[in-house]
Amino acid sequence: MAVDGLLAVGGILSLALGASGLILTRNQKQEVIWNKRFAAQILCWIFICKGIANGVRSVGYEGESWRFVLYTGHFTDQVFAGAIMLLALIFPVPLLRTKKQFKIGALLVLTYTLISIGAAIFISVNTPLAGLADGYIVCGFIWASVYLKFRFMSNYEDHKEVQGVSDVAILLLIMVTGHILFRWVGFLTRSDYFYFMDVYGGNMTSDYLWSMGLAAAAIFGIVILFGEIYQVIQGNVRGTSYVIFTYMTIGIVSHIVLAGTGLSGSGGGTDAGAGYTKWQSIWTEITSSVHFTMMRPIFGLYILFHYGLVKISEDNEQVGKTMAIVLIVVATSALLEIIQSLIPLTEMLSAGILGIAIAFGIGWEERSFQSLISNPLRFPIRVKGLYFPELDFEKSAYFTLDKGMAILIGFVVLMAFILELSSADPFTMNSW
Amino acid sequence: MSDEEGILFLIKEDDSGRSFALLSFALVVGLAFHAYTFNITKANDIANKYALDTYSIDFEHYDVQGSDSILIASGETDVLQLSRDIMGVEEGSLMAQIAFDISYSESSGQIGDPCDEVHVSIAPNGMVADWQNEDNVLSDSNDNCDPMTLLVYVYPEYVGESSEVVGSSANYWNDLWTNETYGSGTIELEISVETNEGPTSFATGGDDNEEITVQWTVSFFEVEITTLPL
Repeated sequence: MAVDGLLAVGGILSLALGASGLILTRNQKQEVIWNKRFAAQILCWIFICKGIANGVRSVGYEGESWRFVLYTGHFTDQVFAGAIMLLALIFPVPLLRTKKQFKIGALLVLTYTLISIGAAIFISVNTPLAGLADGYIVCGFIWASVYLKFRFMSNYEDHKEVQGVSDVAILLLIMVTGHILFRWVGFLTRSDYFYFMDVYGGNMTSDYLWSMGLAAAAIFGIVILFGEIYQVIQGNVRGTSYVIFTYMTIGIVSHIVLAGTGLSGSGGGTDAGAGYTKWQSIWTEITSSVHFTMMRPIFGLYILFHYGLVKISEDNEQVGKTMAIVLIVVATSALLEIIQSLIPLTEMLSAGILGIAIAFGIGWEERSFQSLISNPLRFPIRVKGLYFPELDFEKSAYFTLDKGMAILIGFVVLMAFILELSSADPFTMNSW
Repeated sequence: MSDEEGILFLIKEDDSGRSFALLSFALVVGLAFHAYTFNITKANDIANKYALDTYSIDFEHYDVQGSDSILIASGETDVLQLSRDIMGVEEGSLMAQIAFDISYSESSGQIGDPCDEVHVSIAPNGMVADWQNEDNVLSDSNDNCDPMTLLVYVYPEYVGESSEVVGSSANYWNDLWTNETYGSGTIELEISVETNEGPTSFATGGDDNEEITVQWTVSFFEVEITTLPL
């Protein structure tokens, strides 16, 4: 299966998660603490942004409407980066600790995003100003700090709620930067496959800022890796320890596979680069591309349900189940497509396997869905309540966020359409 | 703003800011390493990664020649065919152009017998060639025994001079200059003769044919694509 196909599947998964997640947050009857409620909404909008970006990019840049593809992908990525930044500022630990701080923070992020979008329109998509919203450094730093503080909190090494905060910080970091963690060794060994990853060319400052974000993600991954190795030595293994070990181990194997390769394609290193062998292309597809397109929504689903960002009751259980089934079925079929591209299965055989997988998947979904929603992990408000200030937001505040995000995404898609009609040159405004 | 509302509180709470300091240190050291690598160690590689390569395209030429003599009766048309097979060259040879030199003289032996009228032409089909080239000479005729030259450019854009090109890939340029379909097929040279009777022809017998000599020269080339250092 071509990476374009994966992007399309990833787009569908992300859109499905984002849209159904928004419905769930709107319909939930149970009270959810303010930062979790906002985080749920932002997380859903993040996936809607990624769904649109991956969806349009799956069409490719060869068609007549390549400008629309490029601009829509670029703009929604910028909204994605801004939303990720806002998420990091309030979840899992709110850095914006009063309503006033929250409003100012949200406005600053919005301004930041609009400036970078404006720079992409009026200067070029590869101007350093258009890349300001790159959130890897800011978000990674916040989540890695939260991880260190809560994972190594004295006298709370076995406290489920305290350790849960560090877990969600790791999961968020992996969700956003997992495909970069697959290349962390290249950062240290100065390999081309890391330092040439998605550099635009033509503007060294832009390329440097972009690459710096990737390097920051690798650094945070390394810090967490050493932190978890220390915890394993101390006998404090957690589920998330295995997740980070898996990602970082794949990073070591990736170095063996990709060493000696150079230029990487678009999409945060998810695409195979020029001169890649078939094996290297396959490896990139089954690691970075799969994370980028399919694992992100799965991580998102887990965070939404397991940490109580969305609370499921009888009223919204059906929507939650549908959401999980859609994710599982689409992800399973996409994985089968990848397997089909590696092993020459006939379509009839793969359809049969898909049917069996769905049958098992639905059964698994029933069980895991119940366990996921039945006991959502609480945050340590009773023992470490100072970290989690209680703020009282009107319902209208949550609706305003939804409206604002919908308008922003609609606006950037419309702008991309206008730029397409105007035959704008994405790399310089001088010629349009 | 109370202490608990500030970000310093979050940094210092529980661990006196150790985790913040540790992470900041790791980030600064890591990004310094990255900056040195990106901007110094690998700066040229990264700058050149998207630079367009320059390629040198060099040609080597060689000609294959041959000739034929054809006796053509007055009012008749004869055809001379030429192809890679007929020339005895390899199938994949890259053909640049074909030149036909047509010559004749009045061969009747009669005193005062004028030159015959000879018309030569090449039909623009049969061989894959650059038929639209404006420099092609596809037909000629005369009745003064002057030699005639017809010329067909076979490989489009071929001028035989080495050049340097920027962009694309070596494979692209190699494919562009090794298209073996040009020169495939058979080219046909049509020759017509109309004899002109001399004043003594009634006594010595008629001038009813002419011997036409055709010398053909086919230019071939070989190409070498070299990537020039940046």
